[in-house]
Amino acid sequence: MTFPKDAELLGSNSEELEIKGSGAHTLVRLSADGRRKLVADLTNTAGRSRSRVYLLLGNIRGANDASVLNVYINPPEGAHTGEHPDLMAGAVGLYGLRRASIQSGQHDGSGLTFVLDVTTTLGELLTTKSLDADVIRVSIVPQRQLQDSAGIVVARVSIVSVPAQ
Amino acid sequence: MIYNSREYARLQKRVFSISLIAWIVILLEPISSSCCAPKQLEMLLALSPAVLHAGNWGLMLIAMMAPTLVPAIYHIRISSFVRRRVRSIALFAVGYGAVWIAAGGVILAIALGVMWWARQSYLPAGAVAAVALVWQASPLKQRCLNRTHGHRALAAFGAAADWDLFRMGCEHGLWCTGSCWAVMLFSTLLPEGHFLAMVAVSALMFCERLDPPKTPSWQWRGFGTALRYLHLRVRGPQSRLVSFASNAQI
Repeated sequence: MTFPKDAELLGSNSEELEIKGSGAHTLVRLSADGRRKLVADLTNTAGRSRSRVYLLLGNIRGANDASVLNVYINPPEGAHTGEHPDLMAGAVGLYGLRRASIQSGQHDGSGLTFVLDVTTTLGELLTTKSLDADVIRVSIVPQRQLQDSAGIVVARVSIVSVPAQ
Repeated sequence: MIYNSREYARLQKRVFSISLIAWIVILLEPISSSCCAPKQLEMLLALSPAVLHAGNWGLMLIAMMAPTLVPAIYHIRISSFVRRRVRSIALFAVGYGAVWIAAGGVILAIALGVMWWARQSYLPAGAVAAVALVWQASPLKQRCLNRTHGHRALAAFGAAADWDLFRMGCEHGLWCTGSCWAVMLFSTLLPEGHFLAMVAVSALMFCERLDPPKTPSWQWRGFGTALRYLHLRVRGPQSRLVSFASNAQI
């Protein structure tokens, strides 16, 4: 009898990421096991349905609801992210961010969490040998320039593998 | 948070099993384990070292509180590397247990004082039951419950991860103590029926955590959910569907 496997953390950044101005980037460091599993998940082309890999933007807090953040995986350093749509993992709208960041009523102030499916993006990066390090660079770029008062902070950026059910 | 219902159910079964084992130990060895039963309390305090009381209180905590910790443990599992999961959960448990051990010291001291003042009387337990009922309906209780639903972002690597987990355990323990102190004190002060009271209090604490966070206000909480949960367990989830289907046929 085989039991279905559990979701697994593959990597995480190490400190809170503040998003201001034209954006920010962070480095998601993979554990040794995490890197092995990521490669196995992304290269598994056998008949079995493969795991999905997700990017988690955890506990985003801030005061600016009207922001949309584009998330890119491993864009070349210094490059304009708009020139690399293939590296875009997705976009998240921060509607309700202000209320979710305040400790009042039923809210505990822990903010918003978003999950993006990055299986295809990471798979393509692996195919083109652009994913050869233990670290994945994640760039978060607002669609419109943010003011410093926006105070948007991502508490944790992590990558998780979830087995197909 | 990534939520996988099957994974959650498996974790819940494991935690419930641990709780059940603790209940069985308490039931089989009432003298050494039911540290809070007033009859044994005085004798134990005279004869046994403090460590024994901490151990017995810990056993009671595992039995009563473990089922309420499933969401927090699930959050820790999903936020930690596989190799660190046991260590992470252990650190959380140490922080959580430390707060409850400290609270247990206060509760046992009160129980001892009450026993000295009114031995074998239901009056103190009755008075605390009234306070517990008011607390159960108070907005402050809802604030504590809301905070037990929130989970902080955890560092994944090194000492920062260890510290985050210990801190999360302490915070969770504090809000949990704030939420449950009155009913725990009530069950401790009962001269008889201590075990049954512990079971009832555990069921209430588990069921009130099933409710989602709410805006704090004066209202009864936990009892309705407990009845619905009991109904679901006794009659099964299909009963409502079957009656709906038969009504539709008519």
